[in-house]
Amino acid sequence: MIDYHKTNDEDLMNLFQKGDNFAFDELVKRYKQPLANFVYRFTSNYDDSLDIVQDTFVKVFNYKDHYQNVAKFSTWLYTIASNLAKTSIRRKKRFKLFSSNLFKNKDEDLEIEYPDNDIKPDDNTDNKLRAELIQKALSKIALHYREVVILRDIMELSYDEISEITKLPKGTVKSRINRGRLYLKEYLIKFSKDF
Amino acid sequence: MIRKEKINPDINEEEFNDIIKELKSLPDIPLPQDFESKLRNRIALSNQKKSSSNLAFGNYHKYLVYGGSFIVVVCIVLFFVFIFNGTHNIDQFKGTIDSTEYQGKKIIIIPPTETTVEGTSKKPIEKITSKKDYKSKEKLEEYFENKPKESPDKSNQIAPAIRIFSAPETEKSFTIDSLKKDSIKNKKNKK
Repeated sequence: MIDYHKTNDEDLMNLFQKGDNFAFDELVKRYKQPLANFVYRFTSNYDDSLDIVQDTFVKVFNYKDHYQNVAKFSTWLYTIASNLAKTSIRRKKRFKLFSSNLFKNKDEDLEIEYPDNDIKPDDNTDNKLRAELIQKALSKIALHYREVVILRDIMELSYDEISEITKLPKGTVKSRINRGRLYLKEYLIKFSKDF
Repeated sequence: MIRKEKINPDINEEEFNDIIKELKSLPDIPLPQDFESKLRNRIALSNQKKSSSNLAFGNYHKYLVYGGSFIVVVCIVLFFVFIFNGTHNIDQFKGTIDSTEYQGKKIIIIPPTETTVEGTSKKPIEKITSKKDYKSKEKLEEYFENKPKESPDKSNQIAPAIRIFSAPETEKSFTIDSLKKDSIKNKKNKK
């Protein structure tokens, strides 16, 4: 009898590749929360992040044979999620650009207000405002800085893992993290003042 | 505005201790209770899509690819067979070509070159090798009248070609003895 709780990710993936779907269930249990955190911090949209997390697991399920045991499972998973998140953000940006051009008033530039359900999953926390502020600041920094800062400071991955996920040299990752933090700090100061 | 000047890429974690702490203390995102059941539905749907697309195409799509490429190859071959049929050799000798009629057959005399003129299956060619300085139609006619029975030594020949349309189906080669480029036999005869 296999104790799925004690089996490591790579062995679980191995079992899943051999057709054991309970192993997949265990992987979902383990990673659904960290993956949701990662994607939400990345996209700043709750519904989108849930969709992306589900899509990530669907991809893991459908492309289980593509996984090779040489890489860590978590690295592979975060790579898939990160790619999906980037695609979603870019698609959304294009859509926003298109729709704002489409409904542009000739006399005055209308500012379309997007539904405010984007940044509101932290309802039950004491530091709700602070969390919102951080999320707002995170959403302002460039994608390539945001990705590495989240992976390092929120997901607490190692530089090697981040380097593998982003397919960047370790030095670049470190410098991006540093710059990302700096931009984040400056945005936080700015938003705090505005608040 | 956020400053964009160059930043020292060296990691200085202490400088950002506060931010790192705050980022680490960010709360978890609440997940819906039906997350896993939704995921199962999604997986089932994606599998359904996969299988339906497989059913629609079956395994025939790979044969379609082979069939398509075969048709393209056949079209290319037919194009070359029909478009270039019988037009390829005459044109390149334009201006230098000479023709005559002999025994109801049209004969095209190509001046001495080392080019070999090839025929098609529909229009076979009789090749006649002659001396380099061969020019006149009369001599050619003379040759046909005294056509030698055996084809002598083919060495030392340059190959001006004479194309005979409506010639016999097989390809034949003839050599004009008298016109042959100073063969050993001719040298002996001259002596």
